[in-house]
Amino acid sequence: MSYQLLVGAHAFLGEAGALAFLWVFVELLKPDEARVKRAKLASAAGVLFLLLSWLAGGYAYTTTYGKQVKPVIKGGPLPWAHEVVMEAKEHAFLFVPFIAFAGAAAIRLGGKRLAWDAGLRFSVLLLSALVVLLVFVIAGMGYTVSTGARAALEAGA
Amino acid sequence: MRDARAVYFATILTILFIAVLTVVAELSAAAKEALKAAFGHHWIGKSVLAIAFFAVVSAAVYYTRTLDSVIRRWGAMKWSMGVALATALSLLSILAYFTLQFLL
Repeated sequence: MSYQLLVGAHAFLGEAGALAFLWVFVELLKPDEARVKRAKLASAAGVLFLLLSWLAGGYAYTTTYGKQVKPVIKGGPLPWAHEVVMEAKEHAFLFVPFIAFAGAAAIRLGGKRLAWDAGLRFSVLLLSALVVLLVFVIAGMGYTVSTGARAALEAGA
Repeated sequence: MRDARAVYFATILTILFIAVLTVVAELSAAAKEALKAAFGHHWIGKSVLAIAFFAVVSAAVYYTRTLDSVIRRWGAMKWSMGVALATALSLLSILAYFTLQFLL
């Protein structure tokens, strides 16, 4: 599979995971039995999307990025796009699946309690918002890395 | 303790574990090489160790009474705020480390 396709799949699946947790957030603003059921489904889908994004991005990173893209960025006008942004991104991404899993587990364990336990509901809303925010920050970092590679290619690195 | 709080607790420790492992592997060439030798790539090593750490801590606090007294001190709301705080601190630490490494 080509590097571009893997990176595209990584980004698409990550965004799909974020959208699934945005869906969870909306469902749990005023939860009832049907909304909790939908939130369970959305959170499970979100965790799955994020795990697949982890696999696609990890495969691209460990097989191609280090050998072909990293040296180009480091030789270009924006070396910090790798040295700072990519280095932080590749590690910060690892937080996301665990936070997503914790949110999904809390919905499954909480069940109907989410309708009346304000503390539990707040906790799932906070973790869902955190997943959405982190994914969009990480997507911005990915865009910066791509910009670093593009700038290097344009400069003839 | 069969409660969401046990999973939140394991998540906080796992996020901090990833941040510490990241910085240690950067500071110690031997640690990074050991990860590479064991898993083929240092990042795969960190991923596998993070999953293993989360699984062990989650199972320990969820299926046993280990740390029950600690976890019961806070409600789910406070533990989730702990997850957000651990995430922010870990992200900023990693970002600060690589920024300083680049600048110095």
